Amino acid sequence: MIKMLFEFIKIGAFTYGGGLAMIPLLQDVAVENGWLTAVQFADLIAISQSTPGPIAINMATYIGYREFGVYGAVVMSIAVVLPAFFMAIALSKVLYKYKKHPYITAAFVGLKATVIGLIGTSIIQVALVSIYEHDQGKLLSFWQGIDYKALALFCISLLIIRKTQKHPLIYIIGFGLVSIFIW
Amino acid sequence: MTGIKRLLRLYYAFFKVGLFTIGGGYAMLPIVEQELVKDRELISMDEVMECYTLAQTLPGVIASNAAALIGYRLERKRGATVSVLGVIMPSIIMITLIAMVFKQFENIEAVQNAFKGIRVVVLALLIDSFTRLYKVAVFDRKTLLIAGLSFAMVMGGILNPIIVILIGGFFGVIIYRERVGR
Repeated sequence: MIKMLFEFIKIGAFTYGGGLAMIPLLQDVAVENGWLTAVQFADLIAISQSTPGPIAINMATYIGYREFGVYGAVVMSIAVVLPAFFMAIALSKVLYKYKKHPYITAAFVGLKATVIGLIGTSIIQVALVSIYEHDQGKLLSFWQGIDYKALALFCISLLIIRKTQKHPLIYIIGFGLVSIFIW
Repeated sequence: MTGIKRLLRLYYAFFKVGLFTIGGGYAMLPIVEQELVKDRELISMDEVMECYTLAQTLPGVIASNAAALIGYRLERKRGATVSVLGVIMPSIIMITLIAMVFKQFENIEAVQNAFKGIRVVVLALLIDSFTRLYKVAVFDRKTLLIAGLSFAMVMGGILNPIIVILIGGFFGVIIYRERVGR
């Protein structure tokens, strides 16, 4: 248990770039220690991606649960977010102290513009997994791959969201239920 | 409002965020926007974006880093703690239930279909939020250039996002230090 805890803290401290960047490292660690086989790990990726919550946390929960039950699930999920949690608090303290400094304010003007670009890339990625068909995980060609039913649903949902502006969860639950019947 | 009540609200808001974060860290933006900016008016969208940017410069899980940074702004250390616990709790509950009950969860067709639709809606919600964020962050040619270049660099796989963020901040200092200083 201590070893697993240590491994998850290490993953949380040294992987940059969010959940997807953690997968290769997590796989090495899980297979090497015999927590999961390579096939089980592939299943785990599928489960993590189709269930709510950040992928890395889902994986930590799953591996923790399999080895040590509910207790393990809780401990490993916390372990994986813990290192960055302390760094976030330290960073916040520093920024809070200097938040009036013109250089900090100016840096944030640049940072916010940068993030607009990054959210753009994220939109493309979400689009690739939501309105494109996948053949065994591989993307088909640009035109062939479009899932027209999904594309139609996308246009309708965007229109409704734009017009009504209700709580996002209403749309998520509503369209989730509708999709059970239309696919 | 008492302190405990505020913390519980924060926990509940981030619990919802964790529950519906499908498809990477940014997908939670629409829900954060609704819960903390529109409904409660606890924080501005501008600050949420700052936290999001910083979240990506830290290692680990972006969603939980963003929760810690936003939580800290609102209620200091206690806020950061409850926000992170809120955002990871749905995963713990859902995945544990799945591991206990279903061996072949993804093979249940209804569940698969529902998630297909949800991913599509998440895309629409994300674009809806994006248009509002864009108006705040991109206000002249230079910010447009920074946003465009960042998109191209990351999309083309030329630079990794952390490097792009650092360069973006650096350009911000160079271009705007005079203007915001006054």
